[in-house]
Amino acid sequence: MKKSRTLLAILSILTGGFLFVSFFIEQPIVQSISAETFLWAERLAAALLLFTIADAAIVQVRKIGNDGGMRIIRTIGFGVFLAVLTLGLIKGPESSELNRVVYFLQQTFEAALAGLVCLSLIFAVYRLPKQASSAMKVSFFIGMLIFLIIYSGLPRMINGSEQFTDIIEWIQSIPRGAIMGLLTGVAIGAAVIGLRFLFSGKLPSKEDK
Amino acid sequence: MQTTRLTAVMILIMAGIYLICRLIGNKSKLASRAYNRTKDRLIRSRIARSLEESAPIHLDISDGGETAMGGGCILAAAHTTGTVSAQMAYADEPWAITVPGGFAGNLEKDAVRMGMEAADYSSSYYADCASFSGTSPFLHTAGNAAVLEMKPSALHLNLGSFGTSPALNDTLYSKGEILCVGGDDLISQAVASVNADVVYVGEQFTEISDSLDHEEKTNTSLLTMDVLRWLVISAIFIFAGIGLTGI
Repeated sequence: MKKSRTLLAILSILTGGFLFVSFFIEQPIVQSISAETFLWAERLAAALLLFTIADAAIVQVRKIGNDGGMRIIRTIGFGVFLAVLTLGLIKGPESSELNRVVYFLQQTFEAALAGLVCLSLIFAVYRLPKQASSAMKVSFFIGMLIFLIIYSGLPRMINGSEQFTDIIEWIQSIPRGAIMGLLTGVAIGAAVIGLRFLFSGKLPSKEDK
Repeated sequence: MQTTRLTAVMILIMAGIYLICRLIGNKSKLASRAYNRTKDRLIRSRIARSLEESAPIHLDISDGGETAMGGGCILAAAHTTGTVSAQMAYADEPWAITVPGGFAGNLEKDAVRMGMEAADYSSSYYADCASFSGTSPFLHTAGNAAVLEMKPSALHLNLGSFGTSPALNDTLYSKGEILCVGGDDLISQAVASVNADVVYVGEQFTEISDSLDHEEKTNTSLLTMDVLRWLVISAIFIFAGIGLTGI
């Protein structure tokens, strides 16, 4: 078991090392091998997704018999899975009718959930000033009010001086700077996580032992 | 300089900083900023409470609908899963992990196994420890309802790219539950600022795994991140100064 794990680890390191280096080598053969490797990795991931869905359906069936209020949800969930699977087997996976039905259902549910998100956010904005808030939440609320007023077009209606327009434009540019700052931070974090894998490949708690 | 060469130089500089931090860090007993923040203490106290009171913990991972290879945040989420798994290995109440499936789901399972092995408790590992709850962030969040049995949890740790779906958590979770959100997705961070109890912003997301550890250590990765942060901040000030003075 340990031997097979070591072999797999060596294979992974070699593949990872090759893919990493391939970003810096512009030879067509290297690029083509790299693209093929990515393609096969994506196929493998898709196959894993298929197994995961089948596994999730089996778990739902096993739990249908359990006590609790989730029995109906589980039965409906498994029923939908079974219906789509049956239709897929009868019509074939490339069937446009089947895809249309599945995407229609998915889009309908996602639209309903998006509507719920809007309601939740409106309620959250109402609730935010009432609850005991942290400095971050208060800043978020004040920021949201300021930008709602600025982007509402109200400042444009006021015929202010050139200085006033400059200030409004400067305030409008702040979120762009904040987004760039956050993205830089995320990039630093991702790079450090990559380095950690490269040098330790273990849990954070074991890194300095 | 070509972009690829510039990237290679930057990676080498980062690797150099990492090695220096690794050599110097342990000797100088330098400590990172991350660990003693109020939010870190709150999350750790919730994990401790979960172990004492047998209240489950829910770890929710989403890759933003990247069904094939998984999003960029999945590695950081796997690190956090490993850390939490090492601590929850002895828990009476099994903890729940909901995953988007595919590559990410399998990586999470592996992280759980590694965490339990680190705690010398690998016999408790079970293969269906991570439950699939949907591919897109919306369906994933809604699918949690079918997976979680709706038991009140001591902590919900949502890691990854969720888009606007964290707003739906209000409809799923009860009042006493603590919701922590972290990821590389700016929209979910903004939404979570309204309804989550703890938000890890930007690169803080990659620090969660370390700040949840049961003891404070001199950590090379976090020290490297601190150094890089100061370098970026200094560069911004230097270039802003150059721009303003017109040198």
